[in-house]
Amino acid sequence: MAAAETVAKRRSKLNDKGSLAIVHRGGTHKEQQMAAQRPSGQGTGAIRAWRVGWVLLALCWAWLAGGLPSSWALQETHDGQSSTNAQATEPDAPPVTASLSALPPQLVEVYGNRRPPEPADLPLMDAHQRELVERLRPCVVALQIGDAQGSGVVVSPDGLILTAAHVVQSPRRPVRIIFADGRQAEGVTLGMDRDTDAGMVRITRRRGRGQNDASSDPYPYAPVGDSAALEPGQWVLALGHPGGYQPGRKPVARIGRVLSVTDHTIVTDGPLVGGDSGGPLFTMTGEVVGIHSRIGRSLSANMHVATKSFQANWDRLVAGEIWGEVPRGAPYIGVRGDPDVEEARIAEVEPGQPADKAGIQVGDVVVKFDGQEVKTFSDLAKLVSECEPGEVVKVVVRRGEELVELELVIGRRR
Amino acid sequence: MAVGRRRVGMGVLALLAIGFALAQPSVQAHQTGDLTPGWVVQEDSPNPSRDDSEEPRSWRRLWWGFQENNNGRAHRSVREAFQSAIRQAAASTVKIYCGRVQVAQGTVIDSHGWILTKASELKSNPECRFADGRTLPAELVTENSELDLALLRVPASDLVPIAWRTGDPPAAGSWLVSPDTGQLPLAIGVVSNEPRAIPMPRAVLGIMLANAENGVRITSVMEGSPAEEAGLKADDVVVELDGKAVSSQEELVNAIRARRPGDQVTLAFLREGEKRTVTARLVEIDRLGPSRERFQNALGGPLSQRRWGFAEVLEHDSVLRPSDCGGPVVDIDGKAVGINIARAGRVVTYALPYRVLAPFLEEVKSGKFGPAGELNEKQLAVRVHQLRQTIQELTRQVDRLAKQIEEKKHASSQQDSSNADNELSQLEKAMAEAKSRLERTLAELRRYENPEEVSQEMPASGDPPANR
Repeated sequence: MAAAETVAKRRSKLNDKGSLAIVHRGGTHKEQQMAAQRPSGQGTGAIRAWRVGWVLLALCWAWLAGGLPSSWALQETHDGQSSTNAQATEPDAPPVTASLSALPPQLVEVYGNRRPPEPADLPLMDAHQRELVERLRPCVVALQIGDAQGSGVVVSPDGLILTAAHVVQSPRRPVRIIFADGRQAEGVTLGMDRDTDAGMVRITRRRGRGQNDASSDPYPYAPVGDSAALEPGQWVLALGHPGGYQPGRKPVARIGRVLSVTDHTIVTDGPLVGGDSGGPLFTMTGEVVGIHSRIGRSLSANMHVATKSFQANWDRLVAGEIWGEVPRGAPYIGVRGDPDVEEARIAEVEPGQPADKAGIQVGDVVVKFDGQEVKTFSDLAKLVSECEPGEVVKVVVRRGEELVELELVIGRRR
Repeated sequence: MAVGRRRVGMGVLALLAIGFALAQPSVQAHQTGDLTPGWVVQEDSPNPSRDDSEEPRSWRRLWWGFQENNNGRAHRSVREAFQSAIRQAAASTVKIYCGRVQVAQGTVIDSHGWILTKASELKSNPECRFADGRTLPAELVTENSELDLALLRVPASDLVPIAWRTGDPPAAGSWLVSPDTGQLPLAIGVVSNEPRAIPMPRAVLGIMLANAENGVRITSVMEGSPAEEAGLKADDVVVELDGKAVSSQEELVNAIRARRPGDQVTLAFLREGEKRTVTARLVEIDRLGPSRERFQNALGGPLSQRRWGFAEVLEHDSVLRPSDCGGPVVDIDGKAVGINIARAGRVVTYALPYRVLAPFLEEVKSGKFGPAGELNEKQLAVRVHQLRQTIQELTRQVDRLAKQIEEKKHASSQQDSSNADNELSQLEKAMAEAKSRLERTLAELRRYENPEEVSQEMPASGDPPANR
C-alpha cells in the first residue's frame, strides 16, 4: 500500500513538473558508434578512437591466427595492467583462447557487424560458437559469498577473478569458488567499485584436487579485452550461472549483440537473470569485455560493467579498496512537455542530455516510444519510467509534416 | 474470469514493484535487476509479481523492442540468414488456434494428419493453420503428460512431415532456429547447455491443516495461494478431494503431492455445517511467498505454465512466447532437433530433444492411436465438406481476379503507366496462386471421392505443398 502511494506521488510530481529524467548519447548510428568509442578524459578524437578499435580488432584476429604472442596482444589491449599481474607468477601460461582456431575473415566481418550474416556464414558461426563455449567454460566460475551466489571469470593464471561489486559485497570475505567441472577452490574478496559495480576476487587455495593442495598448475583464464573498442551491433557471448550454481550444469551460454557502450556500461540483448551477476561477457574471439551487472524490464536491457572500468582502477581493486556509491536516480531523457497541448509536444530539450543527443528538437511531437503509441506527455513519462538507464529505444516524432524515427539511449537523472 | 482478473492484478503488482524500486533511492538502485538469485541477501522487491504473466500490452512492447532493434540479435536482417534453413521445416509447422487465439504451435509428424503440440496450452476445438494457408479442424487423439504433448489429427493426407535430426542434440553454442509458418524464422538462439532433466516441483494448495472429526480442518490459508483464490478459509473442513473422501491430514497431503502444479482439483468442504465445493489450480511450491528469482524471470515476458517435470530438455536462449511452444526447433541444416516445449525463464526456452520424443513417435507410427494413413468416415465427411466450400470460394476468387485483370489490361493499354503494370503483375501473381490452390484442392477432393485411384496415385509420403 505504502509502495502504491509513493509511486502515485512520484508520478504526479513528474507530471506536474512536466519534465523527465533521462542521459545518453544517441543520434545517428555512426555518431553513436563514435560516442561509444570515446574514452573519457583522454581528449582523443572520436574518429581516432574508432580507428583504434578497428586496429585492435585486427590485432586480435592476427593473434588468434597465431601471429602474435598472447602477452603482447594483452598488453596492447589494456595498457598492460592485467598482463603485468598475470605475468607476475605464470609468464608462460597461455589463456584458454590460445587454442582457439583462427577466425576466418568472413566471421570477423559478421561478428564485428560489418554486414549481416548470410546463409553461407552459418556453418562457420555454428562451429566457431561451439568451440568458443567449450574453450571459455573452464574459466567461468560460480561464486558463493556468505548466502549470496554469483558468477565470475578467472583472468590470470594465478587465480584473479573479475566479478560484480554487488556479488563481492565487502572486501576480505571468504569465497567458495566452483569451476565448470565441479572442482572447487577457496578465495577471498578483494576490492569493489560501487559506482560501476566492478569487483574482484582472488583464489587462495585449491580444493578437491586430491591430497596435494599445493598444486601450482595455472588456472584456466581468459584474456581481458578492450571494452572501448566494442561497437553497437557487434556479437558477444554471455556465460554465467543464471539462477545460481546447479550441480551438473555447466556455465550457461547465451548469444547477443552490443546495443550501446559507454566507459562504464555495455548494454546487450544477450539475456541475463539473477545468478549471472559477475559472469563474463566475451567478444567472439574470447576476450572478456564485460561483467554482468543488472537487467531491466525489456529483454534488450542487459547491463554489463565495461572492462575499462576494471582497467582504470586495476591496482585499487587488487589491493582490496572499496569506493563509490551505487548510482541512483530515475531513468531520464531530459525533455519538458508543452503544458498547453494534449499531445506530447516537446517544449524544452536539455542540452547534452539523451533526448538532445538523439536529435529530439523543441516542437517535436512524440508519437511512438519503443513501439508503443504516445498520446500525451504523461504517456511518455510513464514509458520512460519503465525503462532501465542504458536501454536503447526507438522513438518516432512528428516534426512538421514528417515522421522522424530516432534512437534514444535512456540515461539516469543526476 | 478469475484468471483474467488475476492477470491484470499481477501486471499492476509488477509495475508497482518496479515503481517502488525507482521511487526509493535509499535502497540499491540496481534492485529490480540486481543479478543475485532470489533466496539471497537483499530481498528488496517488496511485492514481486505472484504470477509470471505480464500484462499483454507491455509484453508486446518488450517483444517489439527485442525484435526491432537495428543492432539486435533478433533483427530481421539476422533472421533472414536463417530463411533457407527453415524452408522445409516451416511447411511442417502449424499454428494451433482455439477460438481466435493462437495457443500453441504444432509439429507435423506424419503426412496423414498427425500433429504434436503442447498439451497444457490446448483448449477446446483446436484448429490447425498451415503454411500453405489451409485451416483444418483437429481432433485430440491422446495426451502424453510426461512430455506435455498432445497428439492431434487433422483430416489431410498431404502434409509435410518434419525431418528429424536423429543423432545427438547439438552442443552448447550451436545455432537453433524456431520456424514460423511464414518465410522468416520466429526466433533464433543458441544451445545454452547440455541436455538435462527438469524435475517436477511439489504442487501445493497453500493451506495449513489439522485433523478434524469428519475430515481435515484448515487452520490457515496462505496469502496469494490457490486456496485463497478458490475462497477457502480457516476452519473450513475439507471432506473430499476430486470426489474421494479424505479423512486425515496425511491423506490430503499425499493426494495433493501426487498431483502436478497446474492440475485442477475439486475440494468439497464443510463451512458452518453446510457442504460446498470449489475448484483450485495447484501451483508449484516456489510460487508461494515473495521471490526475487521469479520476479526477475518475469522481466521480459510471460512464461509457460508447465515448464518443469521433463525427463530431458535441451536449453536454448531463443525468445519465444508460451503460445509459440509445440512447434519444431531446427539446426542450421533444417533438421528438427526437437520440439519447443516451454518458455521457462528470462534466459531460457526448453526443447524436448528427438531422443525423448522417439518412443512416442514410434507408438504413433505403430498404429496404436489409429491407423496411420487413413481417415475414418467422420473425418472424411468433414474434410470433403470443407474441400467443397474451399473450391467454391476459390472459384469465385478466380473469377473476380480474372475480371480485375481484364479491366487493368484495358486501362494500362490506354494509359501505359508503369504503376498499372505493377498492379497487373500483382493481380496475375494472386491469380496464379489461387489457381494452384484450386488445383490442389480439387486433386485432394478427387482422391477422397474416388478411393480406387488414390491407392495408385498417392505417393507414400504425400506431396509437399508449394511453399509460398
